[in-house]
Amino acid sequence: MPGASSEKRSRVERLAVRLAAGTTRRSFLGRLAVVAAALLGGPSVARAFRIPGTEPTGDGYYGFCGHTWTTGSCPGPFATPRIDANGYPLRPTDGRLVDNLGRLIDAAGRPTDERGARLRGPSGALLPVAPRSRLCEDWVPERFGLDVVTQGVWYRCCSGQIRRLTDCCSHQRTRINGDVALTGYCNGGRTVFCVLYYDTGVAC
Amino acid sequence: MIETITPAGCGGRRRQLVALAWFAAGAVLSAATIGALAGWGGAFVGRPVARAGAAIVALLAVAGALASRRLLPQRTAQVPEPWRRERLLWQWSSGYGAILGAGFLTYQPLAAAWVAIAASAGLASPLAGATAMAAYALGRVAMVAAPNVGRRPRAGSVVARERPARLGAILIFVVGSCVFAGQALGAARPPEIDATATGSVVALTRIVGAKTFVILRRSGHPSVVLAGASQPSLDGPRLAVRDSEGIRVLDWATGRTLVRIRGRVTTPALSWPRMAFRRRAGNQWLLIVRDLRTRSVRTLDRRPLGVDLGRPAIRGRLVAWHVTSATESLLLAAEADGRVRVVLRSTTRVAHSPAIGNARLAWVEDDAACSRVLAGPISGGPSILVAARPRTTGVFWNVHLGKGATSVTVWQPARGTARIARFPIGRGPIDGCALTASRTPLPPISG
Repeated sequence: MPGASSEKRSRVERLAVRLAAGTTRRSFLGRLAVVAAALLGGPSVARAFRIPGTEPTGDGYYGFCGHTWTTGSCPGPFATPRIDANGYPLRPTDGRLVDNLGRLIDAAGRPTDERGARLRGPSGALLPVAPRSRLCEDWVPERFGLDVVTQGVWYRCCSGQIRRLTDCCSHQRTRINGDVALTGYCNGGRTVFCVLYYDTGVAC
Repeated sequence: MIETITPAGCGGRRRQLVALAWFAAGAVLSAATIGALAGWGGAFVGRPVARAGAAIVALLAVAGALASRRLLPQRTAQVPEPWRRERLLWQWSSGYGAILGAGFLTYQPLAAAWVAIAASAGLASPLAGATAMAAYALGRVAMVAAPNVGRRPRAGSVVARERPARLGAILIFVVGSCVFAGQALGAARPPEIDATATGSVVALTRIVGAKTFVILRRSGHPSVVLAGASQPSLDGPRLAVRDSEGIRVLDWATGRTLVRIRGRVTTPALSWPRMAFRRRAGNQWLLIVRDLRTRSVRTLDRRPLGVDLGRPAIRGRLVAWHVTSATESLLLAAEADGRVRVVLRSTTRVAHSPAIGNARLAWVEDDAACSRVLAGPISGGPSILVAARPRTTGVFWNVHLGKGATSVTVWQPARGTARIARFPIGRGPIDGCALTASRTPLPPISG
């Protein structure tokens, strides 16, 4: 059965190429560590080790539309780093305003439910505002102690509209994934630390 | 075969004890492993799904027992008998323990093992699951260690026999009903928030519809109930509450009012003779600390109404509070007559509801995924994680530091419930929300 054997070999080769293309040695070891941690410590530990934006998504992407198989997403209230034109977080599913806790908010920054009604606490009092800060310029410095700036823009067509993808750039040699950061996409000797996107609403 | 763990079966009383020890070790290890895996599975699918699954398994067990049918998988095997002859004492006894501790690897008159495993999954925590199944295994060990406790076998009598299936079914049903009824009652209980304690006396706010009550509980005494009051703060024999007129400080044992502050004042924090509270003045919130004996007043902070100037905490001369705006979250502290210090500043997280205990400051810290309680030394130094939970399961609302224990209000917005949980400092549940990055040490707060 030479045909079946060669088909099997080619399938294995394809798998090997796929693994090699999507995995640096460090990230592969990192994933091995995640698997080991998940087995030893349960799902909570595995969640804690995840790199934002590197989980397989429901659409089969490894990242998000327009950006797959490479640098992880910037930290934010959601795993997917959707931002508005000024870099502040939006809910990835529908682009509505959210605060840093991932709660929907009104124009004044006050938390609301899906219908726009103000949320109340357990005593019945209205819930106060929470900070809403930029994923690159605010979140990354606080979480990672880095001096960063948004640079490196490119565009893709996603869900029928033009998506603007941007890099959050630092002078760090490693990126959010923990391996070597990509050069050539940022200015001033900076490298790509993590990535973000803004859906422009312009049809494509 | 477990009846063979006898002096005669093992070759002496001493060897029987050794076999029992190995049996117990095997049983507990095996059951704990299965419990941990079940708890892991429960956490993976989520607590509600896992609990629903546990309920279904329990119902199937009851139905199967009543109908004398196998509705759940059942092995007819027993422990391998040849092991006892072919293997060393420690090997066969620990092996028997491992098989019987697992529960489902041998024949059982009732599907109790499946119910125990499903219940462990329902706990949605590997550690809790392991503990629950270890307890189940210890029960089996007890059956081997003391098979005849409570009954005296007569010559020629049957030592082991199948229990009546209906009795088992009723037992599973009653236990399961109690568990689920307890959960239902817990969900239906009126929300209780704002715990404050002094010694063994605890005060809290209970919310029933639009009405609030301050409940003061003392062990061995009837509770004191203050209708229309909220936001209690206890300090020895004195209790400060908010009510319709403002803030009232009373002797809780006699009910006598000691001090009354009228106006738009809220959130009292009492450390006699000082009291910190908020006062609304025009478009601002003021944070005031007042000496109730000398009536001297100091305004520690003032913020516009759109900014959250939180409930203060006070102990002796030290006051701590939080300020949350749309741009940042601050934890602040000041001595009653000293300068205000920034304890913590964040633009991404929300730090709120500080509490001051014996040389410690605790606070709640929220991000999009988790709600955490942290504590650090007032003299400055690294903070520790006291408790944490995913926000999907509820958030910590406020915290009170007592002697060796922390009381935290857990608010579950999805269920509309709030309850007060207590746990030792440093030993609270973490539930998948361990800190992934080290925090900046606290600066010295007092002195």
